Amino acid sequence: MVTAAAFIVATLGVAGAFNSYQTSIAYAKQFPDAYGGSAGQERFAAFNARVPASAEVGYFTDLDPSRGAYTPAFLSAQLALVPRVLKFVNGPIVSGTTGGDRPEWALGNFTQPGDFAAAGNARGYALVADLGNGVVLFHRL
Amino acid sequence: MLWILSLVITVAAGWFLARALTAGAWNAPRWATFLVELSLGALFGPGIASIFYFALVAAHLANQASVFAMLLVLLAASVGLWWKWSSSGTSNADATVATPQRTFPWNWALWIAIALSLVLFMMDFREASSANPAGEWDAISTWNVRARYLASGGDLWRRAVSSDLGGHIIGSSHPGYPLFLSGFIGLQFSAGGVFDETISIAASLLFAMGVLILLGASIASRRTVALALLAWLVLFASEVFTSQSRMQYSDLLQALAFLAALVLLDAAARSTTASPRLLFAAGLAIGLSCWIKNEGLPFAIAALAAGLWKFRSRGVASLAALALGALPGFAALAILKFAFVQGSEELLPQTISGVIGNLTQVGRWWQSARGIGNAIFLAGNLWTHPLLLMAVLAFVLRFVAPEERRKASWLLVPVAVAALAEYALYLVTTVSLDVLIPTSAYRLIAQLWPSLLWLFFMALRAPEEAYALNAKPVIAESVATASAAKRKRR
Repeated sequence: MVTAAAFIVATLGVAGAFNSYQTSIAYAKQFPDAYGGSAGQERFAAFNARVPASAEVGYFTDLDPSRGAYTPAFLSAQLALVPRVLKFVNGPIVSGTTGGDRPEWALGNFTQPGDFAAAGNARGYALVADLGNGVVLFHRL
Repeated sequence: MLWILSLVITVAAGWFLARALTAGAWNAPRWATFLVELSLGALFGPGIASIFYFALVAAHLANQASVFAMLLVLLAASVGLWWKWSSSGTSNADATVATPQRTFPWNWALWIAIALSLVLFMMDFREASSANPAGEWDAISTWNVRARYLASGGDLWRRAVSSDLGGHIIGSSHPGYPLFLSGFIGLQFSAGGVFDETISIAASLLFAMGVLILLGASIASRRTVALALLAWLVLFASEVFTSQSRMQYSDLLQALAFLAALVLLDAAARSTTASPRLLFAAGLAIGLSCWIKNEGLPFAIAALAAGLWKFRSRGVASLAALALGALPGFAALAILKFAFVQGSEELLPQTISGVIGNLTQVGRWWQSARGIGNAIFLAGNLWTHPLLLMAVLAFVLRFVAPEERRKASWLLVPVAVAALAEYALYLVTTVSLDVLIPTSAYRLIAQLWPSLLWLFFMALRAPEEAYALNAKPVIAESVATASAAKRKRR
């Protein structure tokens, strides 16, 4: 009985490890760089080269907050931009104010082609450079 | 690749410290003693280094040179202590003679199964790390990003403990999280001068292997080799362990600290020589528990209280050693929380009435219990579930005598307190349980699972004993028959 139990545990232990390995392969195939953390290093490199390391950076995107990709897009940008810190500036400038309390620089993180300049203007920012791949550098108006 | 050197120095310093503090405590095969000390070193070295690194960062003194200087001082001190204590002949050596161990005749087959499982585990880890080198959600939002801020120099490190980090998104903003893992990774960033994703991957593997090694080696030291081999196999079958190992989270590091605390408290309780050094080591593991994640604090408080109660008859020196060992972890946490953290995680109600209001919702009690139960169910796959394997072993091997089990029951206290604290959080939190429980309950199980396995295997009767008992009646009968025949011939 003791021998049988040992062999059962040994067999099922190895089977469990194999099962975990198969799950891992499937997940890796389906979700490589699941949250864009690695891709972000390259994607935001040009942005980092133009913005001081100590800067607070405004952040806005064309993703709807209800979308699953909304938060991961922000987090992967945050990781890539360290030591800069990102702050949401999603809302438009309130009429009659200048938005002077918003960060000097802003990152537009876009998933679709569009009028990036208009998106920036609505938030009190002027487009400085379209860095490609949906990454746009803005400066406060 | 200077970070590899700094990582090696850190672990080596921890290893020498573990050897110095626990010398003679393991009445075990040499390989098991070596592995226990090495796995404890994987906790002590990074833990103490992360505390010193935090001090350097806060003082604006962290750079490549200062980090290496700190590590070399740590290594020299650890080696010095080990040298001093080993040459003076003082140790935790037990006065009792170790019982010679029988050998389970099928150990060789178990070793083969473990080798196969280890290969699969490493392939699993490599596959996942190659696909997601930046880690999973919490690695990107919390652990790795905070490490980068810590290594950024000047006052920029304060962004690691600000609620601005994570955009004030609930679930991604943890300004008050302790800094063991982020500090250890940040230390390597500073040492290497680069934000290299490989560092986080290496740290993840280090702590996963630490858990794996400590679980089996400590059981081999205290019980038998066959039990250790079976424990390893059950852990390999635990999806909650294998999946967490690749995520670059801090939950397996937390598991390592919890397990180390139990192993060392148990070793101190069984030692007849009452060495304060062993209690200092236990205190160190306890203190480092609360330096990893917030969930570590209730465990650490309970473990410290249980230890002070258990060893109350051993004298002030022993109790002081336990408390002093825990001091660095607790002190670092207190300084971080009260002097540096800006903002909070907004997890709890702001008023007493808010707490009571949540507590009186009966549905929360059931949803929380069901969530934890579901997390246990997800700890493995259906036919290879670790609970199934444990049930087979329990049915066949049975358990040690009740008085033996009672002697070790006090070690359940910190584990139970950690679980109950998390349950209590679910009852009162303002965060939606539909969002919180599916992610956090599974990680709670990851943190507690190795300790629960350890407690289970420490209570199980050894295969060597069960196997020998099964063989004994046949031998006894044949001997009795031969003696009777001899007497008849006379």
